[in-house]
Amino acid sequence: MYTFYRKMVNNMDKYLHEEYRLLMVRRARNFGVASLFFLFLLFSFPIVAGFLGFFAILFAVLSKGYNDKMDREAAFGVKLGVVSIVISIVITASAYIKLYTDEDYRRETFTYIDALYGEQYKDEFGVTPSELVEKWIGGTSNAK
Amino acid sequence: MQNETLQFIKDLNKKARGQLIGRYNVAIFVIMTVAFIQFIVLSMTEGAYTGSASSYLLRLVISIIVDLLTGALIFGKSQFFLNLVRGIEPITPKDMFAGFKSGIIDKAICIQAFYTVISLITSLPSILLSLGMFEISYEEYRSITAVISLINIVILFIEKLFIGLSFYILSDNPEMSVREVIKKSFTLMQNKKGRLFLIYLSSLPLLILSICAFFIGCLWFLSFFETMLANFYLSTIGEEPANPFTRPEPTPEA
Repeated sequence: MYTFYRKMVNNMDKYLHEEYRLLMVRRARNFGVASLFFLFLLFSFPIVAGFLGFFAILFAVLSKGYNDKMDREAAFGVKLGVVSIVISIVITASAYIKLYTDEDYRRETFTYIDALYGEQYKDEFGVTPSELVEKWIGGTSNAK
Repeated sequence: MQNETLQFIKDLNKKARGQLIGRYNVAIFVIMTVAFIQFIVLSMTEGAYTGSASSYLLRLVISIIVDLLTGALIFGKSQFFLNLVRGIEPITPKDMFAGFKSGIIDKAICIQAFYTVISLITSLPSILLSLGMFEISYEEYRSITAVISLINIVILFIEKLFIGLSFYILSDNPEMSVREVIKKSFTLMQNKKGRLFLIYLSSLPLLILSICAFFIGCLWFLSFFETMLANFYLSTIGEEPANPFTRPEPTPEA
């Protein structure tokens, strides 16, 4: 382990520094691409896409190093990250709005959630997810 | 003056980002290890609590002792980041245990005691509430403890503006007594408290970004923030940190 750190960390000259900085730039770009990938190809994970988008922005900011400006690749990662964050927020928000307004959809969803986690919730909290939603919003009574 | 301060903070940001390039793995390793040790030891103290008042007091005493001992770890972390910004090689995670050396551990514990005592005094009302000395409802108890925790954070933050450089000073001058270290920290922080406050403020956007990155991003943020604080210390003592771009290139051997 000591040798690993000796190789990785020490004797940092400006060439090695730039090499490591470019690795970070690429990491920012890759996270941006991964966030869009999660958003469009694996459409059911908008929240993961959002997290990856934030990672892309974080790495892009940190990859500036001693420079004032961001590299083009890192800036590209930021753009992809921002796009995926915005879209994932829109998807998540619209799902919640639909759940709140559409009674049939709510009933259908909570029947499914109850089948999966109903017993576990009943044991731990004394109430199933559908009962909880029924109390606050209503419209899940058939799911009991 | 305002522009000068902003430029200073911008420079600190830049230096911290640059110094950490290629060294995030070690910095994150140190941050994680220190946090892990603190977490493990503190969760062990939870085992002492059985619900009675006496076990609550026992847990309190154990957590105070643990809090004091973490001073040694915090010293080691400060030393590691100080070595990192100075470019002292080899940079190894072993530095984080530097606080356990004889002659240092007692001083590190004494410095940490300043934080522990203040924290204990401010949280005294919530301790008394937990012991059931006053008849209040659970909702009242929750809101009062939340307010007390907030006050505690503000007071600790103000304290940091005065003695926040103590561990760095002790790292540079291990022969100094605790009194001298605290005195020097007060002297160094004269007219610079506003700058340190602005450093804390300027790191807020990155903190929010790292929290949004599923809290895992905090590992990168904390490395960056600790490096920035170490750079701030170097600026107060007028020392220039290491920079690979200003380092003279080795001459080729004949």
